Amino acid sequence: MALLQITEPGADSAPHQRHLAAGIDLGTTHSLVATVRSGEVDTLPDEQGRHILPSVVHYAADGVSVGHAAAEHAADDPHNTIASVKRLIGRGAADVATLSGELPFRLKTGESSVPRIETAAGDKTAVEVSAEILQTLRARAEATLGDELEGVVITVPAYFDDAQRQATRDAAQLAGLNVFRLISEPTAAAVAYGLDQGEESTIAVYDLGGGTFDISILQLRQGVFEVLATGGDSALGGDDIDRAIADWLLSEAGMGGEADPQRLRRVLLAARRAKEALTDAASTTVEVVRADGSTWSGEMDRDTLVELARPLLDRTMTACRQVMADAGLEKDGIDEVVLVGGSTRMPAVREAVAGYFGRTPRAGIDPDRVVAIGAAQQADILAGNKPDTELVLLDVIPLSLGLETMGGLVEFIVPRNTTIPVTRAQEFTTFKDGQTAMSLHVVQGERDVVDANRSLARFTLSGIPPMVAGAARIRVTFQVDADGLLNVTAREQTQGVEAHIEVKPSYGLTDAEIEQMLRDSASSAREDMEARRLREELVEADRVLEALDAALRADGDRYLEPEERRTIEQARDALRAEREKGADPDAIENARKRVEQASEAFVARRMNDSIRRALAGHNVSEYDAGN
Amino acid sequence: MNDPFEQFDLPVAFEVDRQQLDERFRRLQAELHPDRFVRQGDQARRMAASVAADVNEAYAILADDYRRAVHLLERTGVDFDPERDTSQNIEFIEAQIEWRERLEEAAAARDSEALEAAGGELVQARAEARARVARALADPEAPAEDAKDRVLELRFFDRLLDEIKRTRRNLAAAE
Repeated sequence: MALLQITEPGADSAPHQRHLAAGIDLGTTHSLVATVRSGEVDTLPDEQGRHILPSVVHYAADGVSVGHAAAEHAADDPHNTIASVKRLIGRGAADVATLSGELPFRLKTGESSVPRIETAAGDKTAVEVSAEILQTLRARAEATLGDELEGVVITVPAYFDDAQRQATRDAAQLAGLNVFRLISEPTAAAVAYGLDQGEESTIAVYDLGGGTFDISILQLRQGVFEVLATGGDSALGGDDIDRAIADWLLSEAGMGGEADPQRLRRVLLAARRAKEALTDAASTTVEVVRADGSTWSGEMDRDTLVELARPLLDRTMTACRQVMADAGLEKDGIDEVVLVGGSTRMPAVREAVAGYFGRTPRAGIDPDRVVAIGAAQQADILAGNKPDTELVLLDVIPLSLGLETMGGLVEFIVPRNTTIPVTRAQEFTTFKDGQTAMSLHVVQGERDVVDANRSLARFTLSGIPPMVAGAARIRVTFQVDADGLLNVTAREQTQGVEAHIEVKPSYGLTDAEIEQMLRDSASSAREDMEARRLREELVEADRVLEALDAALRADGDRYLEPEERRTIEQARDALRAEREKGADPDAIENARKRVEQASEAFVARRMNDSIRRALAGHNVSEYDAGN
Repeated sequence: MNDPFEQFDLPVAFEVDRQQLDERFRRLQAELHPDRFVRQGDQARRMAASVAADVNEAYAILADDYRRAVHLLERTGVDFDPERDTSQNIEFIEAQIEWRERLEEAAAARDSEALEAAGGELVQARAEARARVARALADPEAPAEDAKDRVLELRFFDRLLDEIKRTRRNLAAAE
């Protein structure tokens, strides 16, 4: 009966106490936040009732604005109006240089490995810009829910590599958010449709947003969401369709190159309205004001729209074919198709997708909100609000991880699609006699040649005792956590000499940089750094105390000698006393660490036992079934 | 890390009950995934991550014929180095060369049909190789070197099947 006791996330809390959690879709063109309230999941609107927050941040000398307010500056102050920052997050100077031609703002790739955007409010990294967006969504959620969020689930594209995931987590930290988990966008969409409840299925997620197109093939098996293949076009979206319509309107209205930027924007707006109207209507009237002040008015029907959108739809279908080939699947191998992104509202898109995959796509949930909704459902479960749910979303690593070896080749340590968390180790040896140091280069990607992959980190293991070549045994361990974040350690084994290094991605920010940003950032200037740290420590102390008390109640007698129990209880009482004083974050942290140290063996025993119980419980049910 | 068979409480043998293995994997992950510990502090989460990683790795070994076979060899004290060890069986080395030539020719000619035909036969040959591994590992009298050769043969077929899959994808993508 006590089978699931210790790991029930909700079992340690009072009944009816809800834990506030949210799901965040941090998108390229727009972002959303959603939560589960009274059993209903939905996205949260701002004070004007708008659910979508444009992913735009405007930096002025006297302040920062985010969302709709920031987007208004795109025309008059393009250099300080940062849009599509997701294209830059976790990217190094070299990647960003290839993008910079397309970006309206000024990039600085100077002393740090992380590129900075020059703004009127100083140089900003993509992490800081993203943090502003997250901070705005956090404020919206907390204002709606009336209290602080305990944690969030943030979605990232399935193809995001380690550096991009780490940078997303850093942005969340800057925004003062506790991240329960990063999950992939297509997985979130599948969860929103409840597809995780099924047995085995293969799911295609077609995501056509404003400026990006992603197609992912997922396979659900034994509760593991595996990304079989992902592809798309990072420069293809609904905005391209708007442009195609606008071009058509201009030529119909007899307006050539004479249109100025402001008039062009109006035409684009008219184009978008026409596109949206044609979702339901067969035809619509469009008006365009010419340069001489006269108005052109004409009819646009759905066939014209389909014709204009055709070249773009064909490009998405080409990407679908490639991804299916990549996944090694025939069209009839897909069980479910899910639509994501506002552009999939267009009937022409739905028809094209249904035609290709030979089945009606799932479209019952607003395609702009479906990712945030799936993230919110997962956040609700992780917060412990659904103690009866056994669902665990297992993820796989999207790209292989390896080390550079002789001749610029890659030795893969963790192949793509390995279920995470995972720990893998490999032994290497020295190349020269008396070699005392070894430099290690960590890469991510599928190619055999180092240069074709993404460089994640470089570090040196020194202090290797001098030996003949090939005698040293250097064990390199790759640890990937449940979010897909990597930690690499290296250790020389033969002589018991240990060297140990933890790496952060080359394109990531150092802890010191993040701390500095926390101090500098406008969002945290509003609250005192120390007050913030104190609050975080109080929350963590409560978490530890609550979990420990529940554990002692449940299993204290079973796993602890009276002496051990006294030690733990003393440490716990000391932590509780510091927590009650609630004044000194360092004292609370130290007291908490002492509790964790004292109870380590206890936690380990319970965890080991829960494995035994899980297996034993299974045997019992099998036995029962056999009778 | 604990022994994968012990971790899943399964009998130590080459043949595993796949359904039982999958169900236990699910059950263990439902208990131990770090997601279950997000509200219990960093320490519990870290420990859960390390245990969950062990479970994932054990599952990966038990679910894969080749990795399971290597693990069984190593359990009995056989030294197995996948990088250096190659089959000593001349006949098999010749067979390997023939298979490779056949696939390279089909791939070079972009001949999907020949590739499919070779793929079909390869699946059959792999099944036979797998049966030989099962017999060698089940027989306590079989010499270790012999079992090792059988396992290397199985690896050869697995790798070749992977290559066929890749070639097929490349051909499909190029169409």
